[in-house]
Amino acid sequence: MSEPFRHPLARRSRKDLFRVMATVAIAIVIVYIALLVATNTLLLGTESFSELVATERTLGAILLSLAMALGASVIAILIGVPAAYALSRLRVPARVVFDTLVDVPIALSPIALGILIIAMFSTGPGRFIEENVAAFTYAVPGILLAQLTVVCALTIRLLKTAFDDVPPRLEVIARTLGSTRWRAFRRVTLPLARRAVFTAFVISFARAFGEFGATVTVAGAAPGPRETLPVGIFLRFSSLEVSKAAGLIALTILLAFVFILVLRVVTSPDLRREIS
Amino acid sequence: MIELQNLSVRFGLFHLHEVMTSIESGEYFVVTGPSGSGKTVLIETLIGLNTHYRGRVLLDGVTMRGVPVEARSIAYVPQDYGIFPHLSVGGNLLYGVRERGLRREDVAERLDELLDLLDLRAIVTRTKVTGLSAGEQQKVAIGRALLSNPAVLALDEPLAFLDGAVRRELMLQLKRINTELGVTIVHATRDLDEALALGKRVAVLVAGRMHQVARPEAGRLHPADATVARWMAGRNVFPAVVQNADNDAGMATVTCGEAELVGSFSGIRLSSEMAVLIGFRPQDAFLVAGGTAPTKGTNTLDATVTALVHHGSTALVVLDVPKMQATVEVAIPRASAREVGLAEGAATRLGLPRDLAWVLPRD
Repeated sequence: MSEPFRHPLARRSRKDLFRVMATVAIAIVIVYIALLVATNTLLLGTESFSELVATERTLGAILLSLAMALGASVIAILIGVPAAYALSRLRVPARVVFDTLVDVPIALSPIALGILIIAMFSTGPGRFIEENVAAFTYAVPGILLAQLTVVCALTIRLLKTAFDDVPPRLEVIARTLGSTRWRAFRRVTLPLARRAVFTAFVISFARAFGEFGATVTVAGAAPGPRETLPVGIFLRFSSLEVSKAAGLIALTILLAFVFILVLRVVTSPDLRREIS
Repeated sequence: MIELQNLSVRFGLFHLHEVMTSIESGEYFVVTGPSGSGKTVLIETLIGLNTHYRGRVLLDGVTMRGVPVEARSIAYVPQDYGIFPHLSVGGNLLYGVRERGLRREDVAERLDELLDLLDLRAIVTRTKVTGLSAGEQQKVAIGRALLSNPAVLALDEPLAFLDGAVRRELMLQLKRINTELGVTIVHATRDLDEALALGKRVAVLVAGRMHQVARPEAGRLHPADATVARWMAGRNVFPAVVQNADNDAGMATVTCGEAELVGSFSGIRLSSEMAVLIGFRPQDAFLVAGGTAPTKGTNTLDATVTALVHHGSTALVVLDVPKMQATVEVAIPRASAREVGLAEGAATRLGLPRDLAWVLPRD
């Protein structure tokens, strides 16, 4: 009789080792983030937190940041859902080229994107819009556009993966049951991709909320009505007001945590069920 | 009525050639043939998924070219059922009702009828479809397809993933659906027995060509040509030469190797010295117990068992038949194989009913 290749107990301990490794990995990530947050409180110094942030300027930055991030992520979803669906379902020649082109903004640095946006508005049709419709460069709409440009590609990528996972056969069946293409999308594909749409929305919001490079390139870095929280942090830091920068960082962490958590719970019925 | 007129479809290397047939309203029409023969392409063209075809597809005399899937009144159930995972059982069943602009009251009676026909009452209130068995999913899919009263029900391998009792139950239910609801059924399957059991007419599609459309009699089909015969009989197709033929009775005596066999034919005229083929399905032949006189109307030949494979409820027996100079496969009930104590190397006799031995023109 031949010996078994491996003792059953040895196999079990190997399985456990994987669990340990997985737990260690997430622990490292959490400890690292906690360490970053904790370090920030050291930078805060002796001034009280409220003194650092409870100013009209900071309040303005908070509202602008939230409004811009919310606006950019909502628009990104509105554009991203149909665009990602088209990328997922349409069979056109050289589809892979279009598919890849959509990814290019992800690889480009936000500052580079900002430069391209400014350049666009200083020539041709962009200039016409700038002069006759609405000002984008060094203006609030520019912040929205900058954030949208950075976020949109990411949103489309996340959504396309979700639509790819919905079998087209289910849409076919919906159509044999009387749905038009739009109804099949609305009643079958979208509900099945629902979780991914919500995730894409939350991630887009978070990414837009922290966006700095494109925003600062398009709208400039100056205290006042075009100052988002990331810009505020940069301005404080570059004028050596480290504790004030730390205060704004702490505020950003708090707001980001609360907003992302709220969005996640609100948009995920499964999570809501889990909580209740 | 569905009419397919010179329907040709080309997909890369695959080619569906000039399919020409018509399916009567209320008919149970089965398309059968080996995997990759074009059954799914045919079904998909019918439901409107595949718009790149030549020829014509008519539904009740109206061309379907340019008519979108949702406007065809052809319900469709694919091999993997396509249950909507985000809807309840009821939500799945009622999906088409809203989409077709009907109200629930409009379909209440039909729903009731379908719940009975498909035996769905026990699961209709389930809020999740995840726990449904394959058979239950298939029934929900069929119920869903039928609820909004389509003219045609297109089924692609509806029984392929089911087995045993569930498969038999669903076969009976499909037959009842066809007769009691009067819906035209177009059913694609690679299982010949399933096709012969269910189809009022059976079309045999091999490598993109429709070789035969015939009405099975008592679950049997006489192949129209050698291609169909090879698909139906596997290796049991052998060259033979006609000795004499009775063209009125459709019976011929042929020489196969050194054996003299009597077989049946139809749709052709045979004369002596003609080179033909003789073939039969493994399950249509049997083994004659030692010492028993052969039944009248049966060819009987001495044989030796060279291999024996038990496959489910049947025993596949490979025989060496010296007189035919051939290896023959016979499928008999497993219990019978045990009863006669069949074993490899045993001498036996092959029984081949004359009416089930086909004499065919050579290709």
